[in-house]
Amino acid sequence: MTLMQLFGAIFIAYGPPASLFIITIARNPLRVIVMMAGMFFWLVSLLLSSIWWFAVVPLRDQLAFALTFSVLFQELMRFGYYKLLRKAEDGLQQFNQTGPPDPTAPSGANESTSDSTRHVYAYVAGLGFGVMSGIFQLVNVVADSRGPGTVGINGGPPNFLITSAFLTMAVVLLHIVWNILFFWGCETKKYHVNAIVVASHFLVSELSLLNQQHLYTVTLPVAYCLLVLQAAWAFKVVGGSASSIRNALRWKVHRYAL
Amino acid sequence: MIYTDVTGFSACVRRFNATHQIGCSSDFHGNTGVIHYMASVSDVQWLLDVGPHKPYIALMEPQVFLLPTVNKLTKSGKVSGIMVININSSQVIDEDFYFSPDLKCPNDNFGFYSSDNISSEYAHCGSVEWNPAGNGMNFMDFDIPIISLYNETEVQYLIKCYKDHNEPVNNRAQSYPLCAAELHSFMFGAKDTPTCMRRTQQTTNLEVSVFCDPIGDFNVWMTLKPTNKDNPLQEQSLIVAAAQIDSFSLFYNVQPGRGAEHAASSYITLLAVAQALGALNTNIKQNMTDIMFAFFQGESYDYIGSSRMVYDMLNGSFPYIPDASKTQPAFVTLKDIRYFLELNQLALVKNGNVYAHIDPITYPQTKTQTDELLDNLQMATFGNITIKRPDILNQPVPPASFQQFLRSKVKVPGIVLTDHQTEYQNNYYNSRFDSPELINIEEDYTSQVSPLAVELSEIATTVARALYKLARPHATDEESIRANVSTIHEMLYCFLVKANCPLFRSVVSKTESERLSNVSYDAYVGVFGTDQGSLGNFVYRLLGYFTGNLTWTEHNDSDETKDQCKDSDSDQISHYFFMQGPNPEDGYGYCVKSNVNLAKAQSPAFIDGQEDWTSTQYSTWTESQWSSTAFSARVYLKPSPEQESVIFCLGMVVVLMSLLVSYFFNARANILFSSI
Repeated sequence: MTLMQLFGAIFIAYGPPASLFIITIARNPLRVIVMMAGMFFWLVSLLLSSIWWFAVVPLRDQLAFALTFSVLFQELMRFGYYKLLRKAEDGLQQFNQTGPPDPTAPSGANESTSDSTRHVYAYVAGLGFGVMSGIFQLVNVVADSRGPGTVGINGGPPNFLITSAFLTMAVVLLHIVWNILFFWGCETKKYHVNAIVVASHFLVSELSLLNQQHLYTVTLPVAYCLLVLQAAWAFKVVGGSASSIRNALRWKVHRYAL
Repeated sequence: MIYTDVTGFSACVRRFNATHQIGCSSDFHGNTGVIHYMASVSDVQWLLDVGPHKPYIALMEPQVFLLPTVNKLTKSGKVSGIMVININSSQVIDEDFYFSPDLKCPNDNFGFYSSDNISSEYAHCGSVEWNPAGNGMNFMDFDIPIISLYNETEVQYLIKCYKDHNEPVNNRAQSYPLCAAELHSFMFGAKDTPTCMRRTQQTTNLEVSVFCDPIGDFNVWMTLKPTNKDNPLQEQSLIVAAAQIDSFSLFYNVQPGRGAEHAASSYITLLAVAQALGALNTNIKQNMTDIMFAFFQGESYDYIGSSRMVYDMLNGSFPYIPDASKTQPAFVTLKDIRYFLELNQLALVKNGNVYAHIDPITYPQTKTQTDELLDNLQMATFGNITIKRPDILNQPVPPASFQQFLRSKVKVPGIVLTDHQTEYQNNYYNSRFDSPELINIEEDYTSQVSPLAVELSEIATTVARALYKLARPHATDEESIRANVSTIHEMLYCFLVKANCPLFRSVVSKTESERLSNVSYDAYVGVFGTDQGSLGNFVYRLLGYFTGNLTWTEHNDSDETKDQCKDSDSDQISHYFFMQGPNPEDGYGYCVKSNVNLAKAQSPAFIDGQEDWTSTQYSTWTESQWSSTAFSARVYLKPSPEQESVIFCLGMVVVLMSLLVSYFFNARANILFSSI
């Protein structure tokens, strides 16, 4: 599909996470570390899923079987990372203090990790998870897209590349959102939130099986709807609201809320 | 999902001589183009007049693959490659079709009549145009890849892909996505032989880079009586019977066997003559003038084999460079040759007429011997064969190895036997159509001999008896000499259809017989190396089997057998090889001791220490090198340029948007997430 399509697909799928990384994470070494660890945890889940798939010899051809257990392992590793991060938080906080304690900061910031910091770590970990998942999802397709041909000589859909790219973008962003919700659910012991996250991950993944029958009109809209809804929910969870958006959009920023 | 590989094809490759580059090559990364199927001239015109989606790759039926059409396509700049369909060639072509990529005057500048001091009326086919079907395509330089498809399933797939996506409707082109192909056949060499040989010999880095190799192989020759240099040959004491082994086509390694009429008919007949004469008693052989059988390689490329043999004979190094420490056969010079008889193109004989061509320029000086040779041939005719001279008596000799012997300025008396009186009967000289089907050889193995085998056996018997009478003028038992029809039939099958056949299996060892090819061996001479090519190797083995001494050995193909049955370093007269014989299951075989020899068929222009790559006297043909993964082809759907731009623009938009949004979120983070 030539280099133009190759770069187009890469930009679509990895543009948002790359921009997020450059702008929000790159300058902050602690966040970089948390993100890298998140990527590593996702890789471990991939390793476990592969071993499981390889071990269960008779079901190797059944994609649905491998997929279901892969989602399960990913969620397990998400939980594992949460536990690790929770224990490591206070130590990380000490790393964060590069100078004397800041007297103007809100109370509680110097002693233990604040909620907002926790949400930031959840977001960063989710980005790590999502980027790794997105890379593995699209890298083979992108590699094949370099040549002069496009999908379709034996009857495939010609819009395969662009739908794959958009689906990957959705999955990456969804991982961020799921991670925020999941960590919040674990923290506040609202386990129904965790259940919703896991369920929606299963939903999106199993629906992608429909791609084999070229039912892109089902998978893409569902994935994006879920993304928008859960993003709104996560936004609320981390302290956003409609008024905060309105405030943020103002040109002049009022330093003190009146 | 995206690409379908095409593997059943042979590609046109690049070769060089002293001044030119010929053949085809793709670009380094391959040539891509939209497929356009051409079955008639109107399809060609559509592409030239209308076709908007250049570059195209033409998928041509063989009737359309002609020089004028190919020239039009390449000149238009719209075509980046050609695929020629080559399945069941003979069934597709009608009676009037002819195609020969060789010149109208083959080997023009290297024969006898174009050399210095020869009257020009015969030069450049002045009096007879031997190959009127010739279009010279093999000697043209195309800078697009041209491949020949031989797998029927793949051809059907390509045509279907074209019909589904590309076929114009109402003369209007279809829109994207279109069925397209990518062809790779990149050649490393360029420009001409002196340039690429010089580049090959330079070692600029520590790596060796090779750009081209000289072509050549080995001539196979033997004398009926072994000779020894301790008993030098007398003048005019040798009868030479010769034939050519090789031929070529536009495409490299095209299947099935080629050169059926051109070469196979003659060397198989000569092998049958050798078999008939080889069966004579040793006593009788001792009392005969010696007969030398010579099979030349590389003749199609400006007489490589015969020019080298003549060169060696003139320099006293035929058959071997004199070496006092070894037992060597007697040295042969041109003056030792009493009669020279060459067999050339014998499969399309009409009404039993075989023509004896005699050179008009040297005939006055060689009249006596030439007439003796002709008389003996005519007296020995067998079956329905008649040997006669062409009606026009001062017609030159056709392109044949004999011309190199004439060129040496020694007046060698000789005759060239062919099935054509003036122009070739062969409308497919040196092309992919000179196939077994052309001469009616069955594709399936059958023990019932073909009519062609019977005819060739009659010619072989004629020649064998004539040579016998020439070698033993007072003999009366020539009627006992008969060529073996079933051996000829077997040889035709084995050399042209399938090498894995009973005859070939019996002349190799057990391990070698397991590796025999299930198609025929290529008749192209190939690149000169230390080992002989497969086709020539079987000529060598069969000749040894027919004329040598067979010793029964107990073990089949074991190490002990190999030790007992091998050449000795100091003896260059006798050569040994092991063969398992006609009953391989028995577990034993035969050690063959024969005086069949190999002589280098390497052009004198490439002899180490005296290279002359710009030579106009000797063949300077070289073949370009290519990588081991050079030949590949694949088919896919080509997207429209709009689709590609759309995806790219979407990508840019997404990136820009996400940068803006991320910046916004980051800068206003403490306001956006302030409700905690």
